[in-house]
Amino acid sequence: MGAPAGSTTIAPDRRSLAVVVPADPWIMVRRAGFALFAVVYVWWFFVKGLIIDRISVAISVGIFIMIGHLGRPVRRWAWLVFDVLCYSAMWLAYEESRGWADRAGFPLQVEAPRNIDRFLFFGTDPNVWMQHHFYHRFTIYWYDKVASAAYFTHFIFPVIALAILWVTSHREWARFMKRFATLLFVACTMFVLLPTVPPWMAADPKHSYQILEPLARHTGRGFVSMGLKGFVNTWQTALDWGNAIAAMPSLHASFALFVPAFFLPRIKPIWLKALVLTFPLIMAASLVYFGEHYVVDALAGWIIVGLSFLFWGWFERHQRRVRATRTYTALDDAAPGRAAPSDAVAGASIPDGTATA
Amino acid sequence: MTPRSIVLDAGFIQAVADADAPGHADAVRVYRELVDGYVARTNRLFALSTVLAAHPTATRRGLFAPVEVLYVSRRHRSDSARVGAVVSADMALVLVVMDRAKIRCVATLGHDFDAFDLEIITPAPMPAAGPAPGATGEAPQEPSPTI
Repeated sequence: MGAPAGSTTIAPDRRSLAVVVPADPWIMVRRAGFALFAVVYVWWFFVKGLIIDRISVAISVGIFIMIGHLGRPVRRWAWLVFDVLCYSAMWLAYEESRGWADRAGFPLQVEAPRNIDRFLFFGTDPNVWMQHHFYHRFTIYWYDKVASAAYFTHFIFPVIALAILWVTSHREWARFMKRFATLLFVACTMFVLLPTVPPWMAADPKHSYQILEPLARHTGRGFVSMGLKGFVNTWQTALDWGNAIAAMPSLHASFALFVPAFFLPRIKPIWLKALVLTFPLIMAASLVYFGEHYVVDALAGWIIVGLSFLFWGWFERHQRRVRATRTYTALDDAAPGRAAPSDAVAGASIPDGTATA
Repeated sequence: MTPRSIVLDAGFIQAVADADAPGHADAVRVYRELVDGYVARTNRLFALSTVLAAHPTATRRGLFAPVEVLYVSRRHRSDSARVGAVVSADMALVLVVMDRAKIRCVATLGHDFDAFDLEIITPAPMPAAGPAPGATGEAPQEPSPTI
């Protein structure tokens, strides 16, 4: 590529915009609101418990987002209403799909996931193996607490990420939501087409399956031992369409990979990237340890996350090229005889495009 | 990597859209490069809604397809009236919108933004090409316009 067409100039004695432009008077209001929200949230966490039921989570997120929109233009509020409707529709469809799974009547997968796990681990059941080696009925170890804490992040991590993106960048929120909705859509489709019995149920003597040795379902034990608890409001019972045979894919494992994967490009140090990516591994190990999921459930969840990111990454690149092509065409139409930068359009050799000083 | 956000100011937009405008060739040259950066996801391009509204829909969807709209609200306008610098009303509005959107880079053909703590993209001088002027016996070429 030749010399850049543009140059960045830096003039001496420049004045900061913050000095020239009057400050937004609502900034202090929003900051005070966020501080108050944080205090109340922490108080609620320690006194009443971690908010985990969907409606309570939605209310808390709604309050957070409204604080972030205080003093914003009417257009931003209109977008917010539209976004909330889309978001609510997505979750309602998700909840409803769990009911459809019961009614659709597709054959229940009982042994298949267990057999895949046995194949992957040379004849061993990972759930049983982990509980034999690490679980002690009357003792709670540090890893019980870590696993339990990781398990409960499922209820807040994606929502916190969504809320922060919603307030800070609508465009990034939309990018996040497209991938997230795709993940939920594929997962829900699989819940309907491939209802799968989770390990704890497959091992539970109360059910007829008993294809695994008995497993303890001790998800909340570590969490409670730290003096913490989950907050579930009573209205959850009115919406209790929960599908116990929605083990494939694991949404816990999916979300645990999804959130770090979305923010990974913004993290520069390699060691920090690696550290962040240990979280989905901890989550997967916890799920297997608790008997909540098979390993293959977690793997399926990760694959769907990967496919969702790949698809939307491709689609967004395609959209950018389509828009750029329209621009190049318009420029070439206005200046006939000039060659179009087809290499840039095709993406074969894209210059960095930054105008340098 | 987070793309760099760049506001295309009114003069720049006008120069790109109007083939008869002064600085059109330079503006197009810079704009092509910015669009290349947009394709490579190193740039995000913005313009004020008031600026884009001056152009037909076909132009906005064609020539300016990669440009995102920064909507100007009533509050932006009232805040721009209180800008503490001797600038035009349009300029004050751009500064307010850039401040609120936390954008610190502007593509322009003029020098209006030079006084502010911003990254300013302007057309660079055209690189010299071919043999030195006069080497072939031709008359020396006029230097390309620099803004």
